Amino acid sequence: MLSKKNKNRDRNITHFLYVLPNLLLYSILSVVPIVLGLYYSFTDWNGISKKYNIIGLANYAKILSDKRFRKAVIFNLRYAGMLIICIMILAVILGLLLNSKVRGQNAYRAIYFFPACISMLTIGLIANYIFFQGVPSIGKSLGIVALQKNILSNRSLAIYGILVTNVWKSVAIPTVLVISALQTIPKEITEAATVDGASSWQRFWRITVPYILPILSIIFVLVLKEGLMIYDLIMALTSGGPAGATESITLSIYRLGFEDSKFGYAISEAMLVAIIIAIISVIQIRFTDKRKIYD
Amino acid sequence: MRMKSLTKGLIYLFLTFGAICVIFPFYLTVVSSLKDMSDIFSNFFGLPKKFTLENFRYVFSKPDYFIALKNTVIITGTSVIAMITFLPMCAYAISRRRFESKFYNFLYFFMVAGIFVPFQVKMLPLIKLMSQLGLLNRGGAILLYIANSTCEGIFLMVGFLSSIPKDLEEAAYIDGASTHQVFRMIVRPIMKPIISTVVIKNSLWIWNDYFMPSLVLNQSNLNRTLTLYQYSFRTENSTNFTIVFAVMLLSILPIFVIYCIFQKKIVAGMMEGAVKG
Repeated sequence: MLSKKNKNRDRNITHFLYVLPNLLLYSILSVVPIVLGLYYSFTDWNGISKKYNIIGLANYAKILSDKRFRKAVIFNLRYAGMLIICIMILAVILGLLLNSKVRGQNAYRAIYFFPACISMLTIGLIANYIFFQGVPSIGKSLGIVALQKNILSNRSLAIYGILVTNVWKSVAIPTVLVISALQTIPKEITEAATVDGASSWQRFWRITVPYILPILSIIFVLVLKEGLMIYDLIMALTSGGPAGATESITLSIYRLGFEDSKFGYAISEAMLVAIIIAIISVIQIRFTDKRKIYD
Repeated sequence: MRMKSLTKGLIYLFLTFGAICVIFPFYLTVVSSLKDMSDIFSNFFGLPKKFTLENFRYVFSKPDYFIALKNTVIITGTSVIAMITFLPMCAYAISRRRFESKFYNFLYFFMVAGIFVPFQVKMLPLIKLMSQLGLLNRGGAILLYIANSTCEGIFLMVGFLSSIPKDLEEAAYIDGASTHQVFRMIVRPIMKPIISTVVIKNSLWIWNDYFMPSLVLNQSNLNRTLTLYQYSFRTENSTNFTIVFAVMLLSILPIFVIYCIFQKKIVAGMMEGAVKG
């Protein structure tokens, strides 16, 4: 038997050893780089040379007038917006259909959820060939001019190629979330409304929508984050082209830092983006907390 | 009644159409990997006119695929095992101490705060740092994944533990068990559901990730993961569609097998992780 004093010592030591591995790794590989990054963002370091100067807020001032960054931000916001609209609508439709009493429901679900398990990069590379070889041949046989050439090499259409691929892969998890929300609707309410003569349209707006609204707000934030941080898929489909038309923020930071030797400047861009994404994440946690109360 | 069967029919139509859209790229991957080059140009969508296994023979004639598969298994496996060893311990210590000790309470907020910091911010300095520490290799990738799983893992697990009553633990203490025994025999078994959520979410993320390997493991071909292998294979053989499709199929296959076996668990795990993560 341990004495009370020994017990406390045992508890203190064990608990400290428990937190140590994660604390060390997290501090060295997450916190230190952030602090270093903050420091570098006030310098003109190119990432290689030994000497650099501290230039204060000059990097941040430059960003505001930087056309490339503005272009990347506009592309990314537009992309994230379209992604949110497409995924939310499709997830609600699929959720409703997959939740209705259909035969082979499990088989349908198994098929629909599989894309969520594969790599964005693999999907991108496969889609790349479909856009290169498959879509133009469909375009030719149907006589649709816009589709007859590879849309990924078209400045104004490339974004839609990326969008379709992304929706195809990313609609699965939102759909599962919608289904789980639909299953919380008590049967009595729907039945009572039906007896009272509510049309299915009325039931959808008055019962279903209020019940899935909290989950829709979570989906909104999840997809917004995904859209703003997109990287793998763009590398696989367009590498940011044609002529930078699909360069996302992450890609532009990567290139500025590692290829254009504007290390300090790239980091200050990253800092600005971080602030935007941090705000979004705070909103996400708020929504999640609300949902807990709701349950 | 007729109205109802009409809607039913429309539902089936829509669902089946959607399912075809989902399956179609996989169908294309399979048939394309079995075609030769002349076949694929004249007949992109149809079944192969003459089945050939030449593409697979070509891929298997070099060790690259197996090296990449091995690396992916090692990196995913080691990272996830380390995560489920350390994260529950760390979360347990924090959750039981944070209301009595300022240090542990600080740790909680210190670690969870990382959820709000996107990877892009630390990306550039991190790679510089890791190259100075000699960590641009598999070991470094594993450490990086463990470090990056900390914030969300602690958030999920401390949340889970806060709803678990302490009575059992206290009874065991009174019976003379040590802290580690209590954790190992009582707490860890209770944490199984949340551990499996963390396993599913992180294994899928690490197995499929391209971004971090492209930063950390691009120094040597021997370190490549499956995603890096696919990307460079595609760049080297961009005109040779059929063998690229064979590589894609071989990369999807392991996930497909696992999905077939654990489909329900995987979907549940992804869902749990998405809402709370």
